Amino acid sequence: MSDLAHLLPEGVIAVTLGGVLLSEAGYYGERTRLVTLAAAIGLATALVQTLIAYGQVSGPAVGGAIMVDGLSQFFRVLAIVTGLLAIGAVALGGRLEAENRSEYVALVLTTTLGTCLAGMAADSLLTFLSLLVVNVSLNFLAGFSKANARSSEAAIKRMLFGIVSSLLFAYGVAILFAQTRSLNIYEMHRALTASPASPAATLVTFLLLFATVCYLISAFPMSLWTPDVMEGSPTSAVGFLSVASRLTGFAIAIRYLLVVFSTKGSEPGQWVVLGEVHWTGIVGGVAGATMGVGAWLALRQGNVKRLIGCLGIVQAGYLLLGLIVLDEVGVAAILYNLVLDAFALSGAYFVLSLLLDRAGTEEFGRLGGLFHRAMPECICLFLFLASIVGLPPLPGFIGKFTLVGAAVRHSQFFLAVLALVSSVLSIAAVAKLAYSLVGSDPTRLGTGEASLGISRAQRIFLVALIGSLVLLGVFAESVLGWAGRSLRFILW
Amino acid sequence: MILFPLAGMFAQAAFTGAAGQARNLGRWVALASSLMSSLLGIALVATMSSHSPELHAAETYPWIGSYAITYAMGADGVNALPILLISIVCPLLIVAEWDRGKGIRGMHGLLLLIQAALLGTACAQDLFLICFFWAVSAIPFYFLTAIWGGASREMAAFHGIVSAVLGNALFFGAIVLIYFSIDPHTFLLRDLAGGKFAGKTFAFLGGEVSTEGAALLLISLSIALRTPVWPLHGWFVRKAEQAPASVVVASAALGTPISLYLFLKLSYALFPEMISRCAHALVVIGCINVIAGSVCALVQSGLRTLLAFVCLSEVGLILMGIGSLDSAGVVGAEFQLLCLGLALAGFGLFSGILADRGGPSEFRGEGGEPIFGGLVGRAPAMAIVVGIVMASLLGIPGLGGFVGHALLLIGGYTVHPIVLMLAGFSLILATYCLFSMYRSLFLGKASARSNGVADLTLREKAVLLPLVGAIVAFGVYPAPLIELVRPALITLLSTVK
Repeated sequence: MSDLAHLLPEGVIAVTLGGVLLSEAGYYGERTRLVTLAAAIGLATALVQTLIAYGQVSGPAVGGAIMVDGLSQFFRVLAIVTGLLAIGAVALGGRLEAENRSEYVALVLTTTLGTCLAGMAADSLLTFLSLLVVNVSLNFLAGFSKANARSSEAAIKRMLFGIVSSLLFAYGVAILFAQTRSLNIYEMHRALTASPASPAATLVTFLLLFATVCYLISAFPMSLWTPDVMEGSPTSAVGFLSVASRLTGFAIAIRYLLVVFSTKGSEPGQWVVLGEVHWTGIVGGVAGATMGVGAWLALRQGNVKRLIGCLGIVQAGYLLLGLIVLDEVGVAAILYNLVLDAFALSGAYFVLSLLLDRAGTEEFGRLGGLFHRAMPECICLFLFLASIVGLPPLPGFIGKFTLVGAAVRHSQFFLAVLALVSSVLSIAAVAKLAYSLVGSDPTRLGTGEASLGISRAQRIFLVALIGSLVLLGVFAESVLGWAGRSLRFILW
Repeated sequence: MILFPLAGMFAQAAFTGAAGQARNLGRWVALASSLMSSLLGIALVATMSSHSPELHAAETYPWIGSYAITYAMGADGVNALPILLISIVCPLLIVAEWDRGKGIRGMHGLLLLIQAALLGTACAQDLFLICFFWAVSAIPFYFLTAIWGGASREMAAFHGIVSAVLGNALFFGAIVLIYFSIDPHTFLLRDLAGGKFAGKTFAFLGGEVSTEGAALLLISLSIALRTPVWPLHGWFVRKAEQAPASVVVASAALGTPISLYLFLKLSYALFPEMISRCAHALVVIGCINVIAGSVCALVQSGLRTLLAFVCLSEVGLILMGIGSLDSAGVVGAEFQLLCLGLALAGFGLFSGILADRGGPSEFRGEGGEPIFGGLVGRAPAMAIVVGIVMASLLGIPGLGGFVGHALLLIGGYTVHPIVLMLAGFSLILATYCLFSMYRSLFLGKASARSNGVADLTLREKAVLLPLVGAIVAFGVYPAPLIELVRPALITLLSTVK
């Protein structure tokens, strides 16, 4: 029974979810505004509980199905914060009709729940289930604008990729189960250390599991869905969609790859590859390809949402750099960048949801002069994008440095050069966007409004997002330290 | 010193309202914060003792401990003159944009951001911090050009930012390489200085690459992209044509000297062995720059483009000074940074003043006939000021430019006499260009256009007077400044030799 206390935040989210669903069935119209508030309060309560429980006892719980450690707490905090940002964005965005809002909030809550569980799952079945929960609810979010054909297309595209990758994951786990007779990753680790699997089997298992991760974080071979889904999905949902999917992906990646495919090295905070298959090479190759392809795609986009989707792909490649070094500093760099991305991506898409829906277009060529009509929003957008592509003074710069540093420390100079080149290309893509936004001809914009004003609440939300980003840069040391400490608790 | 402009930036932005008292208060706040920072900067330079190469006013706080990134600031003989330059010019830019109607808060804010970022670049003693501030300084230029520029401002801003970002990325690559090739990893210049990289190599694409060479190459390329260096100067000329005058000044008279200062400091301090091997190449590049700048300046008919090419050839001269590895040459290069900045600031602001009077930016028509002419009668103060600024640009005795040029030529002659003569000849070309510009503007018969040109107002005089005063003062009595920089530079040089 005391084990269940570890799941208290998840319980609160689940109860909130139930309440939201019930209220949706019972109420109509304006009252659903309360639903958003209630969901936000529920998530905030869960966050407070997580913070209270932070750093307390760690170890396996609920019969070994979950692992309560720093890493799971980290992902829990981040997932809940992302959920809060998404709810805040939808409450302030004003785009969704009031009656749809509670459905949206319910989907956000479900995804948050799934991400929290994926972060702590030590049992492959639980991981698989949380993966499915996240996938299904994100698919619904992608197809949320029912009237929009592109949105439905996005949902189907994402679903197809999602089904394939879930099956690959299931196959991978099945092979591991056949070898180790266990579904618990820590027992798998012990069994594989005692009697290593054949290189071919390890390679196949790794590829199967890594493909799932690639799908979730939209890394190269599995990144094909990203631009289309980002374009088709409703703008207010895209930020949450990309961040939550990425969080789940890295939660699984760090847990699985570090526990099942590597073992403690001779030095503290250092891991070495378990077995004979040097999978870090594969990860490095995928990282390089992802960055290159993402940057190349980003340069060729003419649609704002697709562009940011492609920047997200580049960033996924960057994040993978942190994995190839197999040490605490590298993984801490990943976690730090995930925090930054959560804020920057949510913020960028929030601004877009404010701008694009009123501008009535997403194409670069027709957005000319928007800058002069909505200057605060556009400047915020540039700041968020600057953080994503790693321009100072935004902390994305520090984040990029930690990741490139990981590659250089591992003497992967080619990858580091590739990372820099793709960074320059993505900055050029952002400059292209800025160029067309600043473009001085306001008549090109079809609508007749003089200015696209934003409300005070929206302004406060934006300032809060930018402020948190800047603080994440100023106190980078504390955040990095927190991320590093989170990794100490990984147990074998 | 760095916080004042930043605080001012936010404070003045808080005074909303387009007209009336709020706007007035906002610009006074902007000016006050900029001035405060400048006074601190000037006081810092004035109180520095000239006989020690030690750091003054050093501050060190750990920022990101796990990556050994510190907030390390300090002033020594090497960065004293850049600090002085920024301190003199920046408040003047704020005053020069005093009457801009629309978006004045944004413009002042961005100018203050430039001041903070450049001061940070000049003072930082930590490579990561230098990279950080230097990259920040590129961003305001983009917005300043894109929002307040001329007809094809978007393209100019786009070219500028692409070039700057490429430069920043190369610089970033260099510092990552430097950081990880030294053990224990550090960014502090103090710990990196003195040829720690000699002989170190790393494996890249199957071959062995010298760390020192690769890092120096990256830094040089990055500086070349942020400074107008032939053949990568296209963005600069475009920006000079399109950006508002104060932005051109900030770019040419502040950005350029700071970039060159960075090159001088980093290449000498970090790669003493490699720089002595590349010195000849540097001199040749500098000479090409001088010639290219002068020859291109010959055919210009616009004030701004003329300014850009004169700047290009002066940059070449300074590069030659850096490459001469001679104490007089290097001191001259450092001193010329200051004088070049002051003179270019004067020249750029003058072009802005002329544009405010409704004139076109060209001083010559298609067939070479002067558009203005005879301004000396209508605007004598303007004629005197421009004459002094121009004379300093050309190195006429009694003015700051003369001291810098003389030291550069003395230092360079002993090492590369032939190259230097070539450069000297090109300078004569530049002299011809500037004087023909002066003639067609101020002398000769007054055209109909000239009638609309009034003399300098009190505010414009207030802007130009400190510049002219500084140019004359540094020209007549340069000794204290030279004594200030000499020990530090000689210490730097001694590691090279």
